[in-house]
Amino acid sequence: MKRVIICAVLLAVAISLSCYSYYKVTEVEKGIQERMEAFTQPLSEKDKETLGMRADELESYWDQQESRLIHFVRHSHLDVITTGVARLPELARGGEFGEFSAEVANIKRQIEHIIDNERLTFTNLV
Amino acid sequence: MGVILLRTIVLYTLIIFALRVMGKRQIGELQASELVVTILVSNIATLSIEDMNVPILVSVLPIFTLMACEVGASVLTMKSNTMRKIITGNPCIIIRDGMIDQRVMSELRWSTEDLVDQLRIANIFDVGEVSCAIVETSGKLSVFKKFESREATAGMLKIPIENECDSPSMIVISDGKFVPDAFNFCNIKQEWAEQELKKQNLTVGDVFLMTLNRRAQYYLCVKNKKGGAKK
Repeated sequence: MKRVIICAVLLAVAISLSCYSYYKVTEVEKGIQERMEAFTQPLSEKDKETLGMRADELESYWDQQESRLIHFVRHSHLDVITTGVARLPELARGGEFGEFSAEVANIKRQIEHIIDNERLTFTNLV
Repeated sequence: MGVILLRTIVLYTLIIFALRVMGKRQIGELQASELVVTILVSNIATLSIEDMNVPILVSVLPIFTLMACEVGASVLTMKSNTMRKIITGNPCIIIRDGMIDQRVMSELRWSTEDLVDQLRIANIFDVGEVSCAIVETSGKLSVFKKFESREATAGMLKIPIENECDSPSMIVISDGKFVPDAFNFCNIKQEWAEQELKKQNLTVGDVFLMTLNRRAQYYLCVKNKKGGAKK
């Protein structure tokens, strides 16, 4: 009976961890999306300084979140975002808006990919 | 993470199914579910060890899940006959009243060589000696010999039973240390052993192994390969 209880507790922990990881990734994705939406106006106005500041904000937000995501997301997936986010402030200040937009799209795609991996879908199961 | 959890359960079920379909030949001594857990756990555990890109939780979570599945399966097999049949299968009588059941042999895909091989492992070199043989769910063969082939027992020969002759020997000194529980079991005091050792000019620290039974018969093995003595 003791073993059954231990297993039930461990299974509950495993399910909780699964739910938490999905919740955390979704929350981080929302945070990133919000900060990326703030790029739209300075990008259209080609305002290097504001864009640079907002890219800095995104970078510091990502640095905080990455240390939590690292516990349950493959590190190689996170590295792609870290590299991309680190490039954004310099691209903005250098006025390379085309490259900046491409990098933003790349980061969005990568975070969506991480969420897709966590989702309980039939495609993921097979 | 949820995907890993579900994938683990799906794989567990699939491998059990595959092993059940493959039959007892592939299982050897382990039950199907035990074998699945052994294979999966060893492979999963290496994932995060080999690849630093993989978080440790990615290995821990499936192992927890497998453990829960295994314990759950064992509880189910304990409580329900139907689940026992599904998960571990049934023992099969392969020799009944001295006659080999060829239908069972073909179901198990055992050749005559396999049967004779298993009998030899059970220390039987003539199929004619067997009254009944059962292939257990673990894949092992249990044999019940015909009356004329069975070893004579003290009961059959009506040999009078001596006092305490059913007592097994227990380890009373292990690597230079007394094992008090064993003395209690043998109903012999530790001081008696100390006196016996003294007679041989030994102390407890000199003894590598000493076993003792309730009839005060002991086996002694001295440390540093000085040799053994039996009394």
